[in-house]
Amino acid sequence: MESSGVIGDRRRDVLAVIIPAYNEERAIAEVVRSVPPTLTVDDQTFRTVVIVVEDCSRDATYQNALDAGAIVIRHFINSGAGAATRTGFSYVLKNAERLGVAYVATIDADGQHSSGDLLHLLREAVATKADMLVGNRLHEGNKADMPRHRTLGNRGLSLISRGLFGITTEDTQSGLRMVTIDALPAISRFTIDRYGFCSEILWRARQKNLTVVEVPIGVKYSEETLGKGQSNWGVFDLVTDLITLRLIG
Amino acid sequence: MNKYVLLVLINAPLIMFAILMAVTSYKTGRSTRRRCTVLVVFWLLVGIGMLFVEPLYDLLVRKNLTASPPLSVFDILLLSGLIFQMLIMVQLYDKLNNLSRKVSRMHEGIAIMEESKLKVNGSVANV
Repeated sequence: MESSGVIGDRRRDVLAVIIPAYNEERAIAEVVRSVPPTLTVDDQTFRTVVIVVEDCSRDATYQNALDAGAIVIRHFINSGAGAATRTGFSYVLKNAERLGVAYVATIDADGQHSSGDLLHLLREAVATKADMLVGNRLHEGNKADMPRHRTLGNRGLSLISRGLFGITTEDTQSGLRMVTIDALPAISRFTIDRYGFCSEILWRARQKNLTVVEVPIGVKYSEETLGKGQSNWGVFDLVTDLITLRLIG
Repeated sequence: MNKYVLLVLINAPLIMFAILMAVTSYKTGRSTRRRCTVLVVFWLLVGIGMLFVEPLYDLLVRKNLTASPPLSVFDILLLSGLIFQMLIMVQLYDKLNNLSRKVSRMHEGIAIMEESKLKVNGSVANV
């Protein structure tokens, strides 16, 4: 699907960056500011619009994101990372024409992704014309930066996703992904509200025969990031959600 | 009347109703094809199980795997009650699931609407 170009008399030159955030008052402003206002690939310059979906945090995430210059959508009930991402997708779909959106990216609010990788994904998106791109953290280059239990956990979840849905993506749980505005409707109505949505998105993409490309990315873990990650119970929840989705749909 | 026939006579309409509900739910767009298939297969298995209760019981007795007495009227009531409860549970699960999706969409819509209101009121820079 061709994404960047002209719709009617309006040019599609915007990359909408969605950041689902929950209790991220320390990192959110820096993450928002780390997204450059423009990204240039070959001769094409893309403007960026940062959309933070604040998932009813108990801290100052909302204000900090607003102060950093993002569009902030506020959930008034804590609904989960999947629900927050879905709200972001709905917002983009409603405003795509007005904003001139060509690509939509999602990044984590904890600062584990770099803006350089965002550019890297955009470059690949333009070059390969893929419908969807997923940042892969599980490559050899990240071996030293990613704690062993995280690598094992992510690999395990990818294996489960492969067994249940036939998804061949190596890093199904990556928060850094990019999708063309034309392919967005096909994946935006996923049903899992929690972290299982990462696998569900890939499944929906597979069902709709979208081309998915994996791009190696870096990862930055801090003490805080590691402390906030998925708990073992969260992983159990995630697996339960995936099995339920597979069985009942 | 043979008690096994009575069991089938009481429960066959319930199972047929359950299958009909699953198909209707799919045809009217309230449920997915996968869910419809899972439910139809589930209720068919329950129905088949019911049809073959007598031969199954005979087989278990012959193989010395059970020493329970043959089907009583109380057993029929108990089994019928159980199937009726399963039917209610599936209906409630569907209703709850649909309601949850509706609330989710409403929440999403309100959150986006609130953001637009803020923009109109000038609290947030227009993009």
